[in-house]
Amino acid sequence: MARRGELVEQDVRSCLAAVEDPELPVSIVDLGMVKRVAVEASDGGWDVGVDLVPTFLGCPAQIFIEAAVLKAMRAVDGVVDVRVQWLPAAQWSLEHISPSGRTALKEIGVAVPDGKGGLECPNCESTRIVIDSNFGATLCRRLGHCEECGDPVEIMKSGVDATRLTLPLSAR
Amino acid sequence: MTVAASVSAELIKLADEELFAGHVLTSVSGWGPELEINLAMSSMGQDELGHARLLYGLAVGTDRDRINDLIYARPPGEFRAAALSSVYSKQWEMLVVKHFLYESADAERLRLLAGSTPELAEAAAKMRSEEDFHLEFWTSWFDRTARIDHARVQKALSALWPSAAGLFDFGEGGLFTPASAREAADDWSSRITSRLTSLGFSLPSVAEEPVDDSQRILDEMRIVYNDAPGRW
Repeated sequence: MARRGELVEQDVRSCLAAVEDPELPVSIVDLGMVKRVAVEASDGGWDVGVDLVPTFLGCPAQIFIEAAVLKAMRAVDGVVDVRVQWLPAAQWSLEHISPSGRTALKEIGVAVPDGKGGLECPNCESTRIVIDSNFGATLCRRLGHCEECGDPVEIMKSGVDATRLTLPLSAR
Repeated sequence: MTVAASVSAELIKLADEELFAGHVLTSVSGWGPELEINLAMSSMGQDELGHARLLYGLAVGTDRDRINDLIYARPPGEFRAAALSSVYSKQWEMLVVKHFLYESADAERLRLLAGSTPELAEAAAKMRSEEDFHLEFWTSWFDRTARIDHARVQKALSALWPSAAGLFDFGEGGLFTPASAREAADDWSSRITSRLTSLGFSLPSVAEEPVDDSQRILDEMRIVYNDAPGRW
């Protein structure tokens, strides 16, 4: 007999939350990349549909994330069929990062603007951050440093990130 | 969504240009004058490749084989990309001038796209939010490079201006009305011309032979596809 839908959905959600972005050791759910999860009854079990939103359109991690999601969903007891689709044009912004995502990013030295113009150094919590470049190690990050402790700081960015023009861009 | 074949052809033109621009940027990353610039160029190159994928998807659907066929198997003569997008130079002032012209024109075209169907407008908004960073980068580096070596920038402008000619050539396909495309082209051209003139630059006639490196890009991009058919 098929498992109850609520149990399957619980497993689906916890397994999704365990999928990390290959370019950041943070859950794709915490990063705000999972737009919709649907668990529907089908013949002999449950079908899962997952809609994903890319942070940046050219993010090369998309293909790996898609494969990881497929694998994780297929491993859930009771799941028969899995459909993963990207919604490339859907807007992603820093507001989609969950509080636990912000904490996880801070722990690996990545600062996330608070959306009100504020930004804290992950090392010393000073707000004296200067952006050195609008680009960085991945599409969703840019380079900066902390004027207080001198540490280099990686800063999450999104295209709709309103703080980018209010923070000082170091002189070129 | 399916779009009319003529609209699809115009979306493919936009996609081809982003593909060419992205291929060149990711290829020349490493030749920029400093590490941060190389990071920026590879990031922008990836952004452009992502925009190409989105635009191809809007044009023909998201089937990967169909998009691969467009990129790897289409006869070179069917590419309608403006020559500027294909300019393949590692020289800094050539890169700066190419992208100063290309990104500012692209911003105009994304504004046009934003006034199109809701689906295309959503795509335009996502692309534009990323392109804003590119435009800021290349505009500020254009200004700085022009201050450092006016003569070299003038030489690059003289070489590349004729290649910009096709950026607003959309025909009657229906993606944009001919009048709105012409208006955007005129706006862009007069704004760029007056800015360049005020900086002491002169522009050659667009009738000069354009620099066009699209064949080189296709040869490079297709090398594995052509050498190992079916196994790549």
